Amino acid sequence: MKKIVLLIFLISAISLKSQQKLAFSFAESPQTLLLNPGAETNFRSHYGIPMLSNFSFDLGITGFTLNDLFSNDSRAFKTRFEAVLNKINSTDYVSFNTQVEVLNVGFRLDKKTYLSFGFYEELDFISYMPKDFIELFYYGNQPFLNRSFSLSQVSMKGDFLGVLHAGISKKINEKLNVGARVKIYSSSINIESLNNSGTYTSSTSNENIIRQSLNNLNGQIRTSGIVDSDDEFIDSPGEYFSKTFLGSNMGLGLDFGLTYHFTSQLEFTASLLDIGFIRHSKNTKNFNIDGNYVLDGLNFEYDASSLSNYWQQVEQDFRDKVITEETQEGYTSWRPMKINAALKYSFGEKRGKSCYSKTHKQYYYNAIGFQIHNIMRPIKPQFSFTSFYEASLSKKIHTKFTHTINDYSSIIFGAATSLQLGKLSVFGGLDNLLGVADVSSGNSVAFNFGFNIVID
Amino acid sequence: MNIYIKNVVTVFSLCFLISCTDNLNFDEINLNVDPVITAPLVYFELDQNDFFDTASASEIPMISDTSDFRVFKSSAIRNDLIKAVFDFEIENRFDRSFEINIVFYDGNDNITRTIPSFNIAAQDLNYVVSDSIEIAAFPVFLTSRKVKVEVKLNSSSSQIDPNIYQIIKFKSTGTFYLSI
Repeated sequence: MKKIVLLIFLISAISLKSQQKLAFSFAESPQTLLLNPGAETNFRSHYGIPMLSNFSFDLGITGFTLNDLFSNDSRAFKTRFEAVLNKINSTDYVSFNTQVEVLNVGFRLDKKTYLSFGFYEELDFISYMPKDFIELFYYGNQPFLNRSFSLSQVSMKGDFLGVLHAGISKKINEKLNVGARVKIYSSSINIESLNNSGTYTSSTSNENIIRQSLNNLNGQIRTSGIVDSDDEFIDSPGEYFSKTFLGSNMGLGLDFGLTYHFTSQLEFTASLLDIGFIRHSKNTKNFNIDGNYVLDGLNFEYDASSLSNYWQQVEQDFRDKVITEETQEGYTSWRPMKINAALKYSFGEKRGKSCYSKTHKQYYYNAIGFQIHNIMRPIKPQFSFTSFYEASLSKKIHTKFTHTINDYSSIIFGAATSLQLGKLSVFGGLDNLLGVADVSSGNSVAFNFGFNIVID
Repeated sequence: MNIYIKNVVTVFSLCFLISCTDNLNFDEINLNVDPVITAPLVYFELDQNDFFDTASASEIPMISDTSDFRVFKSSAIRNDLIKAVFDFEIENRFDRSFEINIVFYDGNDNITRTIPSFNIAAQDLNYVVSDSIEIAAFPVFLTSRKVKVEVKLNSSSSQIDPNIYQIIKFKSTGTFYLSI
């Protein structure tokens, strides 16, 4: 059973990299409003189907593939693991983000203004590979005399939160549509270890055969939500979920977006999402370590008049020079800001569409363009570049085909479709079609879907 | 349109259905971690005055010192240790020879390990020796909680002159082979 769970987890971890960005600037579906509050809409109102209106799942790993670890060859697992360990570097990472929209509703206030609001749950995690410390743990320090192991490679952040939001999309003129969204974050869990520094070194020495040094060590782990007011760890899933709705650690965020038509055929869209923070003031538990220390060993003094317990002295000296503490101090964590932008050129046969205002809007059946998607992460941004082709098969069936280059691969092909089935709007996207064929040798595959009732 | 929808559903379904994990083997994912940890242990530097009693103007033939040795207080180390190797480097600039004895004791002062004596000749500047302990063959070593290092000045016809500077340097490390 454990192996089945592990298998499922690993396949998911390596293969599923959902691309919400497939929905960006595509088909004027309700999904686009969360990715760009300045997206144009052509409907009178929409009602998301609870829990199904927008589901996205984004899970990936860089540096190696499943095949590298579990290929069915004659090598021992240990050999493969060591090859992977040798292959990865400290900027490789494991990350996932999943959002489940609980509620999403929108309606047109007037001809130029569309309001939307809702609530979604989000789980977001990233951990870089602290290669130095994985190697130190795996091999020990003996093979690495005179090598410095850097604590700065330890960098991770995890959040489980609920987001209550309200947004407005406003048409300024025929060319420009702008929008903004305000978000109230309710953090259930936050765990982060960021901006660590310092090194551990085992080196040759004049005093003893080797010397162990901790240089400028400064590390911290900050947590909120994992302990209760009695400092006991919370083990009730229900309590974690309940805190995602206006819980005790709150934050504020803003999204901005725009759509601009240079011509009837050339469109630019862009958005800045999650410019915000969460203030963690309750149920916090932090661990800090700070200091310098040099250990040459137990320096026997052979002083019969003053017998010493050298081991105790070393321990006390260590405690004096390397301060470790546990605190309940509040802190502020920043949300991972996202930047999206797309430039789209439409061409081909024109089509007309009835809009909420009983007017007709002109569309083209085809479009090409490119888009960028960037998430600000602790060590470096996660950047994707996507070129795409869109084709409308009818007024109600739109398709999008993409090629993406990002940290995972340079050959990620994706496809998305948006369907209007009566009043039901369905969006589905699948990325890395090549990876789907053999998830073991790919780093990413994607899916994203949503069901909404749309009233024209 | 219905045909189109069917096609779309078919394509998406097919993508999931044809997903495969080509020839992956999850049967051997037990990973033994075998770190080798080395740490500095006892070191000292003694000169002629450490072996000369000015009050009686006579040599001190033997000195010893003891410390707690808490490496094995950790159950994780005790459970995972396969082998311990102690390395020693001694630099003797005395014109006299020495004998050094290293003994480990448990918490009740029972001997858990006696490392064979080192006999360091006069002016031997590069005396190197190591002692290896396989835990499976010598599990009592895990009960060690103290270490004593005894330094004996071997007798000689010439007596130490407290005004002539001479030193003996002692260095040591412990290397611990674990299997986690």
